[in-house]
Amino acid sequence: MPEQPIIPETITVHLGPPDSDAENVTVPFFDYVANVASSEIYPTWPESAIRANVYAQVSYALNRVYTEYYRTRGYDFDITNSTAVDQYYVQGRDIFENIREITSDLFNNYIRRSGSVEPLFAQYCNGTTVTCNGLSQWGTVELANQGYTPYEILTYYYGDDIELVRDAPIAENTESAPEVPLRLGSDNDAVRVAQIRLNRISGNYPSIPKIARPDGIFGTDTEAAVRRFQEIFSLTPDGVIGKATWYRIQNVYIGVKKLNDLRSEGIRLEEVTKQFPEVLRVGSRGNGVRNLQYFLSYLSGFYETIPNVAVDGVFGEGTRQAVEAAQRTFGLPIDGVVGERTWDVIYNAYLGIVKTIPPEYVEGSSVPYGGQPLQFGSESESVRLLQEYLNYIAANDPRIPSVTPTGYFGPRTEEAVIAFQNTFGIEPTGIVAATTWNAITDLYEDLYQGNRLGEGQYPGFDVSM
Amino acid sequence: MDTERNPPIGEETEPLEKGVASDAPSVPNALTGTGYLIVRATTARGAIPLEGANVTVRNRLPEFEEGRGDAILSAVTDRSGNTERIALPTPSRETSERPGNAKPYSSYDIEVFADGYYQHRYYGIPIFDGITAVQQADLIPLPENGFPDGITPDGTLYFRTDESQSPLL
Repeated sequence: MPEQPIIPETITVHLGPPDSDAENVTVPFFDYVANVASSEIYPTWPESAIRANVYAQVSYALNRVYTEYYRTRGYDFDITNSTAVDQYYVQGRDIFENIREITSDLFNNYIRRSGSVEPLFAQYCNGTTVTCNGLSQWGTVELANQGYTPYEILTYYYGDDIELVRDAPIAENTESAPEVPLRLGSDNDAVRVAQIRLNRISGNYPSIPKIARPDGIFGTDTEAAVRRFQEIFSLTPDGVIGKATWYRIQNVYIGVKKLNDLRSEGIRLEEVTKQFPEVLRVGSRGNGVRNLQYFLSYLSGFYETIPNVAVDGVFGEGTRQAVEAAQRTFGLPIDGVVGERTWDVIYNAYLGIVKTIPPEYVEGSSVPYGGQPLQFGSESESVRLLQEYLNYIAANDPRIPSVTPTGYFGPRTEEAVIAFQNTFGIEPTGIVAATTWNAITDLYEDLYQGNRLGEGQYPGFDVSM
Repeated sequence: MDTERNPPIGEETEPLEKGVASDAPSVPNALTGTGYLIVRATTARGAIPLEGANVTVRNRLPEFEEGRGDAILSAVTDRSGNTERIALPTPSRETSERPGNAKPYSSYDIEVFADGYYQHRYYGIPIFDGITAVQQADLIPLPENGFPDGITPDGTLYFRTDESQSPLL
């Protein structure tokens, strides 16, 4: 158990009572909270009541995750959607706009007892047919109508010795929302992060206009992009990046980027084959397993019911669970073993996706880390690629000096690498191993994809003859 | 959690609002409110919007089998995958503000279809007075070479959300 609770990026929900033979879905925690809130209460209730309920719902879920309640009992999920034991979550339901906005604000806030680190196991019930030692859902409506604030409602039900933790840290790969909302005239690093992300998102959502220069200055083109984003994603279209909009941008950006991670990481494109290798099971190793994992990883980008797996050529527990999830999804006998039938079904599902989705959405334009650290004195094609990526970044970011892509790692290249590492919080060793390579290619992808123009897309600056 | 518990010692826990039963029997057809629906078609778990997906909204009434209610309207998604905001009749807001009343929302069935993807049918989507609901339809490309025997032979995925509001009674 970690010391301080961290808001997970995703949560795995079992769609039935714990021991039932039901599917698991792995969904962003951000979306899980919006779904629970839309399912457990009515969106027409007073805002104070909704907020109090959401605090309880988030705390409850975080408690399950933090205490690893189900995992330590041998289950492969974090929580269920059975109202007999947990809270309601309805796969595929509609989400109410006002509830979405509130959960965007509260998804990383929770309740705890003073002096304790653990999120409160905040039980609740409807308060009419069922009463319980916790929050009464209908009761919150009455209290809200009497003018109680969310905090007052929560202390009413859970006692005075609770405190509300706000803006808890979220899992890695995510950045916390800026304390002050970003708006016209703001000028800081958070603005630059938002601009790069919006440009990246606009690669998939071309009705969002490009921001010509993602330079950290919030001008009218940034405002226009923000407003359009808000319209598309059902947020209040005020052109200001507050907490809800910041995290929604992050949520969508992560989804868009994840698609690029489906490209051949862990396997070279030449190795990808539809040829059934042999029966694969826990303990199997090799290229057959690598292919299987690649297909499953691809499917996880499209099927909520199939978890992602590492493409490492070793068939372990994670791979077995993903195989079982795929078998359940496609109605095959669920045994975690890949015979010819399971292989064909998985491959056909993968092929269907590849043939339908335009490649520019999935294919990254950069090369995965080659495995050998690059440093002063290195000379190779990898160095030349590194220099190309650094150069592209340098053209978009004045903090990084440009280099000549000669393929030789000289003093100027080292200088650029150190500048990059310093700027992005990596130990400035001047050596490019996996972490630095991935950070460089990540940013390169963002900028490259961000600069691509979709058909009919406004480029962010006036074009004239 | 529906588990019943004893009240904490030394504290009264009267339910604050014992179900105020309506004097009249529940009148399910008094749809004096208006709620709104936006359907968003995407693929890749929301990362890619689908333009030109066909959306059909049907009435969901007890006398019809699911998915067989009369079609109210159809719409097509735009470049961002969204339909326009669709207005739909609902019970008035007041019915949701106290327990013990008739069902405080109206239900609709939605079909979403885009060529080359599994079709999605959502049965029993709740709509509330004055509230905009966003229905995300995250479609999946159809597998190549047909389907595994006996599984969704028509390439349709069903989502039954009739019980998608926890019974708050």
